Amino acid sequence: MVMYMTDLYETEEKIKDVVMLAARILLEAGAEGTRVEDTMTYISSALGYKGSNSFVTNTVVTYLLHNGTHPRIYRIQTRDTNLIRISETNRVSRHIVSGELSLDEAWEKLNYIDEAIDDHPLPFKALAGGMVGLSFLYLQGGMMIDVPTAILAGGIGYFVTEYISKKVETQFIPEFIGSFIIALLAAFGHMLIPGGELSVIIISAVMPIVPGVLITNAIQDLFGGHMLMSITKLLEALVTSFGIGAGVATVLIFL
Amino acid sequence: MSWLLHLIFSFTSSFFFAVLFDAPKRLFFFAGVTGATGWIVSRILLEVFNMHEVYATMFGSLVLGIMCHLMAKMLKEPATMFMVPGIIPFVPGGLAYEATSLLVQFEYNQSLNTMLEVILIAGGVAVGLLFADQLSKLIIHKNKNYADARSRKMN
Repeated sequence: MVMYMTDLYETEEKIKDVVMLAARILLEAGAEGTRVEDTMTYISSALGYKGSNSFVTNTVVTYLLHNGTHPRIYRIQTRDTNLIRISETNRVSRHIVSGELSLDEAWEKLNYIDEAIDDHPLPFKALAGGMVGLSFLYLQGGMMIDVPTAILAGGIGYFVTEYISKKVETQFIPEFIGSFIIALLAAFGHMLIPGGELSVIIISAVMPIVPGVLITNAIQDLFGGHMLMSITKLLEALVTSFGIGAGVATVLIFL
Repeated sequence: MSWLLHLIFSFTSSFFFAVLFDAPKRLFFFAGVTGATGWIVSRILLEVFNMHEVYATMFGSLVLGIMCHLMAKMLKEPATMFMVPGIIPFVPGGLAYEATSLLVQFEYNQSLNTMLEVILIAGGVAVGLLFADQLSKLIIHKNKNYADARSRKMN
């Protein structure tokens, strides 16, 4: 009987470990609250605990497996966007439910996702930022003559913003400096190659640092009934876009 | 010609946004296709049917949302993978820029008017996504696990 109790206790702790790790990876990768809570409930009900409860915002995870155990709390410190991790964690949770993965295997896999899967290299992403700038130059109705300026400003602006946001933990600063540099580069390029349109260059070069994920997730959380999460995400998006606006405006004042 | 270029550049914009947001490499192409579909629909509504930008954006994001859920079903991935890169072309960046630049020139009235239009377009995107979500819950993910999990939670 005593053996049985400790066994049960250990399994429950293992389930809690797996669920909390999955939730933590999802939140740190920037998933929406609906997805995180559904994944947690889904894993635990597939393992036989149908009365589990969870509450998630983008800064904290709370989880209760059932009423007789200790709840778990984890504070989320850093958040960014990483769609690979969301996709992989989603696959692990699907495999746990279909019975293809045991708890220990799932724990291993989640640990691998948490530690080993990394972002794409930053120079590669900066190149992608430049290409985004080029694409938006066309979509916003820009001119052929502005192509090099838009690519350069988009790529360098994205690189600077990401680099600073890895060093500085404050919210507003990276976007402010990034968009300030974008506007400077755009104005400089506009001066060197006259005849284009400055506003379109700035708009398309700023696009890579627009908080698109935050806005999308905030909308989805709002309609999913996660009021607290949607408000915090919207606030984060507002601060970021205010940073971008302020950075661009700082240059515009001097033009 | 301009339609073809719109198709190409909306594809590349969503494709490279998938790179920026660290999507898995195998999904870059599908994210691009999804984004291009939504954008082209909104362009057709805007230019061929002469709709107002707000409505065109709304229906564009509706089509985009449905496309995302179809892709999610087909590739067994979460719908966010395609929604996040696809939605970016609809962000009213140009108008927001205009509003900001008017604001720093102390043109409060015009700036506020432009800001209202920005809010309307963003609301259009949100409403389109909402309807796409509900439609896909009714039709595409009919007996999907997530809805199941939620109903269990209530008991």
